[in-house]
Amino acid sequence: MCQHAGCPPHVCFIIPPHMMEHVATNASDPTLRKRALHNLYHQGQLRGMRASMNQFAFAGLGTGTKQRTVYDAQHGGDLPGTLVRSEGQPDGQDVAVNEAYAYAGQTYDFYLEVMKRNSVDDKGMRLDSTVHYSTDYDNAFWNGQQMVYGDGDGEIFDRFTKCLDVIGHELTHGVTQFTAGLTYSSQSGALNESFSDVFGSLIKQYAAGDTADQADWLIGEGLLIPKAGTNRTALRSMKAPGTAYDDPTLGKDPQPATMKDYYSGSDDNYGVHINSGIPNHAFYLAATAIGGKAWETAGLIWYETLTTRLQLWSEFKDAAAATREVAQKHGAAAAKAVDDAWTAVGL
Amino acid sequence: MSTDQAAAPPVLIECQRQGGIAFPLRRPTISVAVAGLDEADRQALMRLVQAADLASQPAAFPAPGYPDALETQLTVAWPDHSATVRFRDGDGHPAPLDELAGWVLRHKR
Repeated sequence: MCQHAGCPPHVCFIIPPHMMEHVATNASDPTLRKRALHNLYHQGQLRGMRASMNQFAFAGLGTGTKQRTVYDAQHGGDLPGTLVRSEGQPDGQDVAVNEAYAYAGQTYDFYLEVMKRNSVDDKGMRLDSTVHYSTDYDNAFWNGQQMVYGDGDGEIFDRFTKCLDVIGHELTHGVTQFTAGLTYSSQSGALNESFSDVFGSLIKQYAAGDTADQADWLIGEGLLIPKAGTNRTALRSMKAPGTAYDDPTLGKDPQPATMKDYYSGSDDNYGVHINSGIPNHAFYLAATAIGGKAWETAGLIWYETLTTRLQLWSEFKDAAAATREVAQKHGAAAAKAVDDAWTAVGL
Repeated sequence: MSTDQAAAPPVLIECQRQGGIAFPLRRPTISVAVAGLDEADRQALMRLVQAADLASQPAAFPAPGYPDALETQLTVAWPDHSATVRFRDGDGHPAPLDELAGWVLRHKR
């Protein structure tokens, strides 16, 4: 076991974070940069030192300097794959590449224009995406450094680049990683998921110019391939958790809307995609009660909470308390709407 | 891989997935009985099983906990023993495990 002062039992990092940051920023070998970034991510997680990520300047791009790259995994598992598009290059023939590029741009624009945030790290981090990951792959994920998208199986799922809110969801995992760092398990993990759904939905609403009462409040609408006699509306519904799909092949959407139906099993990292229905619904209730465009008030309250009030193991009650407190800055009506929303879901 | 494992064909392959952005709950286990395969499929599966080399893999790869990572559990059963491995997106598992899992899932479709 490591004897270094400050290292937790059984865990030791021989390279100090500032050296790793230097390698991740300056090394000419992309493999070394990638490895250093990977190590930084895990050091930050294990030591609870998200400052090691927050303070890290990466490319140090100025505010408003959008940098996107898209890679093609060519149905393999190696990341990032072959570079197929860089910032400023025009659309090509590959729809998934075009979507990954365009929707990453819309997500960047939302965070910059609405939240005054310069990319996921607020320091202009380049947005890397890999498409055509694996074969018949029914998923999209954030690996701590980039987004990864599968093509779907063509029977149940369409390609995972298809929906702007799904891409906004994945990139918001990056924002969470660089801010609250919510641990991906139990209630902190469900909050992590919920913030990704909230901002994924807001990014879609912002792009469409929808008010809260015009929005569909669905996540991944159109991702499921329709089938007669089944409900394949979307992955999740913030308005009515538990109703997004119901299908003999897929089962029924298991999300609860309130604490009364809280999932206490161990699947899904102790319910991160399941219990996220509860804070999701609270946001929907708050945003529709406030009215107007959801990103203008409710979105700002949730963003300030994520970026300044929550931490690794925050729970639902912490998010409820923090948003109630932050909402008071936005007037009595907003404060009441947020308070009522959390009360309605049992918090 | 052991000599026994190389020589004897498996009798059953099972694959189960859970997690990912789309469906949080554990999905039904997909099973492929080797006895029911035609010769071409059996040969293809044998090559994938040998490449995946479950006997040399850890029972589970350390999970980095990446958001929305999909978890796969693969089991290969021989007449007198079986081997199971669990892995997730981004945990560094060997590509042949994905290839074997993909084959099983596609075969049952």
